[in-house]
Amino acid sequence: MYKLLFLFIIACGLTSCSEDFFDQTIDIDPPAYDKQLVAHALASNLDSVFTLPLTRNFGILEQTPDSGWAVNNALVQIYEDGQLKLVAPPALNGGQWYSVPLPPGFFQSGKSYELRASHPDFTTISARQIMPSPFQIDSAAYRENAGISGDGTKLSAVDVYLKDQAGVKNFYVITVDGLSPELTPYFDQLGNFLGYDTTGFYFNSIYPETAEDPNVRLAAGRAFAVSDQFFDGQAYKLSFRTYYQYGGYSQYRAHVWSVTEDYFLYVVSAQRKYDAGDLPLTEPVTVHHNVEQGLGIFGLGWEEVRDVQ
Amino acid sequence: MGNQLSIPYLPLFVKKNLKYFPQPTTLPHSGVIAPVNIFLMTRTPTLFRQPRLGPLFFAGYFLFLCFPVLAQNPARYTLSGYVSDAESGERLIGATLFAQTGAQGTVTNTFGFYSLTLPATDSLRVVVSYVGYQTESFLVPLRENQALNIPLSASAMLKEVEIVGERYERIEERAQMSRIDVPIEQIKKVPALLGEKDVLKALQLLPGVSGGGEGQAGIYVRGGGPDQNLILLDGVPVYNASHLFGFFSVFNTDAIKDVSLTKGGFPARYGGRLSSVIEINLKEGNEKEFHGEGSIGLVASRLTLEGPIQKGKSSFIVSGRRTYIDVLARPLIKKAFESDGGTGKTGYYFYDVNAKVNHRFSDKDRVYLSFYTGRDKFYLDLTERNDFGGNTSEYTVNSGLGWGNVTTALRWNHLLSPKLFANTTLTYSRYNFNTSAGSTDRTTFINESPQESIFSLNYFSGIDDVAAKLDFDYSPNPNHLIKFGANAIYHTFHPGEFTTRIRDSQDSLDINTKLGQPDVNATEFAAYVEDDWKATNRLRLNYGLHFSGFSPEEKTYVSLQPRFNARYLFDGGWALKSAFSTMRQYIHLLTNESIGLPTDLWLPTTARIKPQDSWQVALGLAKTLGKNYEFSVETYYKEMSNVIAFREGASLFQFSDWQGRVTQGDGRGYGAEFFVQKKTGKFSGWVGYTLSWAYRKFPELNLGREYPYKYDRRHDFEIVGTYKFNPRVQLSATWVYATGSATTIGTSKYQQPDPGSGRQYYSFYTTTDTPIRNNFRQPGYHRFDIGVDFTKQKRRYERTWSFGAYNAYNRKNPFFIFLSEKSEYKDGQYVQTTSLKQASLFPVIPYFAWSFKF
Repeated sequence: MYKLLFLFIIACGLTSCSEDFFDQTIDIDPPAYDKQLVAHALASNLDSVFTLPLTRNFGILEQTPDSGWAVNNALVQIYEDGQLKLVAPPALNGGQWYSVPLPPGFFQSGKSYELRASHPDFTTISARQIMPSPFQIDSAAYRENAGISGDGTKLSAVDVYLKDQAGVKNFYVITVDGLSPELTPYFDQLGNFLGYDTTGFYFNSIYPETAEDPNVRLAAGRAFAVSDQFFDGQAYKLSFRTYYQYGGYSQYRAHVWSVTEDYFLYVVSAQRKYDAGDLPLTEPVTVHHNVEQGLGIFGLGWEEVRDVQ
Repeated sequence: MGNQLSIPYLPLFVKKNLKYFPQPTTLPHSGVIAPVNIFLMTRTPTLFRQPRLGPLFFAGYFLFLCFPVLAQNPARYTLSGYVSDAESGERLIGATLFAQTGAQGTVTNTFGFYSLTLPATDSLRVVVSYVGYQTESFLVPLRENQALNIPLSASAMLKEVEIVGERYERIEERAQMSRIDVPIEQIKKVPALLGEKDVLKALQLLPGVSGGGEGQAGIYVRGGGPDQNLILLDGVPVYNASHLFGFFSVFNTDAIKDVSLTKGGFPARYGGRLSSVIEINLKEGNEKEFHGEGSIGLVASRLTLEGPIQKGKSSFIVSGRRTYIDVLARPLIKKAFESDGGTGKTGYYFYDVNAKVNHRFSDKDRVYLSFYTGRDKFYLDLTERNDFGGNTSEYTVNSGLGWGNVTTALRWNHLLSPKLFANTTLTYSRYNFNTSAGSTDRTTFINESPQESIFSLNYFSGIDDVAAKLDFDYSPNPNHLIKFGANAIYHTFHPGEFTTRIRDSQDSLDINTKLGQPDVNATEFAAYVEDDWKATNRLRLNYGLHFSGFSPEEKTYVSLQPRFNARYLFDGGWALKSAFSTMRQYIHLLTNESIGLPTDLWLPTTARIKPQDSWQVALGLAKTLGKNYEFSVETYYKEMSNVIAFREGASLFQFSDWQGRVTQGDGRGYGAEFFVQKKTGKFSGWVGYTLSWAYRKFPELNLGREYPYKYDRRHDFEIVGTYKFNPRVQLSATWVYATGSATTIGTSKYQQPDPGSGRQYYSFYTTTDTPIRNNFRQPGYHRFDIGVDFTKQKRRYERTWSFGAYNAYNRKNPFFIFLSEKSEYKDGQYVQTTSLKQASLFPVIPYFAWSFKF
């Protein structure tokens, strides 16, 4: 009898349970966060304009209208060795872009530059970087046969031969644009087609494929990045390997930057997080930031450009 | 209660064996001190007086150099033998012998052997005790070496007798710290998920041990990783101790005799893992009578049979367990397939089998052969047939997933002298995982030959070990117990191999390829020497050296690891203990720590992947409170280097070179553990509390900054209790609380330049900010389990009904956390809402089981 009573009590207990008693998924509170400004910029010695997209962050559960990211009417300033040098005018029309023209060769090697952005609704953010030293590119060349990718596709490469400065921590980033001629037909006075004139070039930012050197990392911005810890003070061939372009471009333009360590860490970690996005059970990736009291990156890079056929 | 037992008679079998005493006149007088349940073996004096060490000469020479205290005293003799269960003949591990004359003692080793060398006397009083057994006291004359086997009776068998000299090795007496022995009977009483009693889950309830995720059988000791536990089943390493994706361990409690966990202060005999040693010894089998036990539960049934092969000389035990969800569900599955127009079967099961035989060839030689195999298997076989106007098509799918261990150990105990015990072990251990997926499509048109396309993919990974081990216990005098030995393991790692078959008769395509990484062979070797030295009545030391080496194909690593334990006994019974140990680990585990996936990949140290190292210091106090309550508090600090982890962004499901997917870094942990345990009596159980911190620091993870380890648990509290109302009814309950696991969750979202866009053409994508790895604490974990056993003695057997509930108050404990996005059409527009969800695994789960014993 007592067994039946026991079962009856259990049954009563279960039937009196709330509706979600067996629901194994519940809402929990998200982690606390600070409302912050977000800035991303890489500036180089060749830039004629300094451009900064300035946005804000939101809590992970907050709804964000498309226009909600932009931060208008902020004050964006660039300091050089502690002296205010530039002030970017406020972004207009709800935009997030703050731009200011730069005098030629504004960012000089060895000088310290600080980016500051302030807005009444946010804590002022800042990031400080020292412009890296110039570096020497000996030559650059296009290589048609640069191996086979994992899926069996033919690869080509743009090789840049550079000389690293000994005893200094250098970080290099390379991107390559494919240049296609902008052809304008020309005609005789009677209107008969005579041919094309190359009046300019279309630039196509090329996607990098796997690197040849295992120390070279895939980086954000369709780039490869490498630290000189593996070749300090030596000549080094920095290769940008990509899928072989059948038909090809008429020429390639290699941009090589000697960037600050912060920027190097950012482009490598941002790319890794982007790549990991779709894989199941991936390990979390922490993206490097150097913006104090905020999020994002302010990087400087000494840029060299080489065109190769 | 005094120190003497008054028994008016001598048991008959004792009287029968009195003739073996060399000087019968020294026997104790009846009515004063009497021997109880003593069985005296032959004395074999010649061999014992002149021990022939033979090839062990050099080892002995080394020991004598190292330990000058070993000089022989001609006026001393040795009492040696085995302590066993009187009912079954099972050897008792860790039983204490205490010679009250001279106040010296020793403890039986893993094979129940003891050796006690004392000054010659006509009347030596020895007290033998073991938890859960009746303490025995007797007198023996010691005028020459004596071989003496001592059977102890379980306390449940006690009659109304007055016990004298209740004396067993109390916690404050041991030099070694950070070691916990949990009686297997106590483990069997702990309420368990679906009623499946589980050794590893019981160990999770001990201080200093975290259990990983909800329901998992993982073990994380003092901030260590899941690969840093040396799990030894009869001395053989078990590489994957999980069934059913980690919800059950592979150990069948019915076949287990003894379990111990060492978390630190490792004696020199242990090596090869950084964080813990879990020793599980199987029963030997009843050598006197045939017995059996078994149970029928909700998910599995078990059966264990044991008995003598040759009474008093050899015995066997066989134990098996299998789940039967697949069998019960088969008719339903079949019907489901048929309703879809096909035939087939699918299911999951696991099984394990333990078997052991042992034979005593002589008083000095005994051989054990033990075997374990266990396997999990998931299968899906499906066939669909279609007939269209005489043309037929048949589509078949076959896929499966299987993983399991095999271990075998052949052990030979040999008594080289009453003071020198040798154990030689040959072992084989294998863990493998394989999965297969395949399909066949066969189409037959009228008057044409059939067209067939086949696709199959198989994956295989695992590890095989063949090992040899030689261990010696040398007891020159009661103040020293010296252990020394050596071992070698030949590992074969199978890092993962794919076999693919693609065949199409129509296109004449036939591809049969094998991809993957080649097997890696490596030899691991070790030698050790340790001494347990009772320096004074207050000071006791356990110190030693462990030397190990590892030779993968291209390189050899070696390491010398000092070990040290000390105990100082204060007045009032308080013992101050300290320990220092260094450890090295040559093999690594690539695993997903969230769930116990069988894809665990054991991999070797290579030229690129370095061995893991650790050092640990511990300081603690211990005392037996009252008569039965062992209390200890321990603090520890542990540092680890070259700990392995996946690189950021890497996934278990990538099949690139494993060395490229991992990175190495450092770890550290520190904390304090409080433990009170009562092993005997109507009420038994323990209370444990751990306050701890555990961190990791990898140059390539979390931007090189230190971060909390996933199983960093600030507070961990557990209560385990069993109360026996009477021989028929027993109530058990556990309650656990642990700080939530650390996990990585974005704290905010922001816009970042799309890494896939070039610098000239900015575009943005929304990502989340995770300022630090493992930045978010899951809600705290707590759970209450309860169980009650109703036992009844039937005419031919004893039966027990067990009822209980896991997670009795239905706490929704976190299993994992995820972001959920939902889009709803509301007021003429779509509204997207995001919420942070916690998924739990087990609600309240009642269980029952019927078990029997004969």
